[in-house]
Amino acid sequence: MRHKDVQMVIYRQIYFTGAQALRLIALFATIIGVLTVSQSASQLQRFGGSDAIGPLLIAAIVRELGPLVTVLIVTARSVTAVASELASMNSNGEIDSLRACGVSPLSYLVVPRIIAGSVATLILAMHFVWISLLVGFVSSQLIVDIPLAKFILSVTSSLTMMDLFIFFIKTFFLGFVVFLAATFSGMRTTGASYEIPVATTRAVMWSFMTSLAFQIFISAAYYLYQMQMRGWSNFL
Amino acid sequence: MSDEIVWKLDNVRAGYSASEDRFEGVSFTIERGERVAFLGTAKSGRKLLMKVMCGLRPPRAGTMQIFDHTSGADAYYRDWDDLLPRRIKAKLGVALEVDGLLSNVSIREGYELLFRFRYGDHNERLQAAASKVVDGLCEQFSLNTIMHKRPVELSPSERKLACIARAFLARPRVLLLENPSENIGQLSQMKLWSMIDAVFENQERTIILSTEDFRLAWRHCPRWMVFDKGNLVFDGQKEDFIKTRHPVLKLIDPVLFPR
Repeated sequence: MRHKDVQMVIYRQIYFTGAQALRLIALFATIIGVLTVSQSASQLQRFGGSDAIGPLLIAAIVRELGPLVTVLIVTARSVTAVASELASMNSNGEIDSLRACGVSPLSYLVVPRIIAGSVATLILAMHFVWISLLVGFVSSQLIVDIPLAKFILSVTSSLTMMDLFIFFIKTFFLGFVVFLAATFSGMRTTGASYEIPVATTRAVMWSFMTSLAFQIFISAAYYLYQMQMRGWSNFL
Repeated sequence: MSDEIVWKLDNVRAGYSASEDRFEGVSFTIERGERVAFLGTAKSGRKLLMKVMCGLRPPRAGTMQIFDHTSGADAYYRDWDDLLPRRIKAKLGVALEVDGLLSNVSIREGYELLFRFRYGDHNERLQAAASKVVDGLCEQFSLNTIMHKRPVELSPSERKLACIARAFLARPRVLLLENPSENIGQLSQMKLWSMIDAVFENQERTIILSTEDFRLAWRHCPRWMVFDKGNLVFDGQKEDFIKTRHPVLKLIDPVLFPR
């Protein structure tokens, strides 16, 4: 990875997947933040449970929706681009010419894109979470009128190291898995131009399936762990 | 011509799919300094053979020796990036039919990138060497007007020229050209071959030319290998092929010897 050209591929991919998607992620984060608070805060207030808004936002946004929505946007925007780019490079003979010149497509095209994609997905998810929480606070002001100090206390007290650990692991590996699917699908073509859209569709399907399966697996593992820690009887 | 073996294929078989062989049991030896033409019509197996010879596809059976490296059918199950060691690839200059110019960079950037991958970019001396080699190539092949353009901005003949020039980047000991006359006019072809001759002047370097253009092969390659439906039907001097009664002669005779 010391090679200057490989580093350039990583920077470009982070710029394309991460920096250029910030506004789109911000838009989705705003929508999710408003919807989560507006749907839950009024219900919680009815039962006098407005203090539960913090744990609810952490559970919904940090643990579940943040990683999932981010990875779905990344799939729609960047996974398709990477898969079609590699498939068209294969179709144009660029990958063969790299191989013939002694350049490994794995080190120059595949690995940098997977690394950059994983890092960019993590950055985007962090961006998603802070905007969602900010918008969540603003919306809660309009709906249930919680003071800022109480809101911050509610959010920070419900945020544990385990939540952060799960968030980072989940997001990074979801990014890794979808970019692995994109590069594998793009490189798997035999060189015919009709395979470019096939590779793109296949990459999207693999990304959706693997990211949803991974999300369910991590969430289930987390809740089983929580049950074990707190004692099964509390949940039954 | 020296006796050093550049390629030795022994009963090599290969195919695009796992179930079908495009050519069967091809055997030949090419020595250093030879100029060989692979001839044949479409579907004759030449294209796949070129890919096998430059390490882009593995043979499914038989053995292939390139310089001192031997690979066999076991290569089929290895990573295809490592079919040939880099030290062997460094000796080959390859210009395939599909030019494969990197589409997202200019011609110059593409050349420098390949040079850096081959020799590294650890210090300024190597970076300067990359620029110098590319400048030399640009001058030899008169590429000044296209060096800063991306492949999409070039005409088909300019792309072909840039692709062939790229094969000379590492001063190859063997040059493999696939359909080099495609998209290039007759005058440009003559210019190209005078450039190739100038670069290879007084050097015992091997040229392998895969083409359907019998006239081009007649001009530049004394040894011909003719393929038909995946079989090597002739291997010898070009004059000897004319003496055979192969059906393709009916087609090429008026081309080579117009009345």
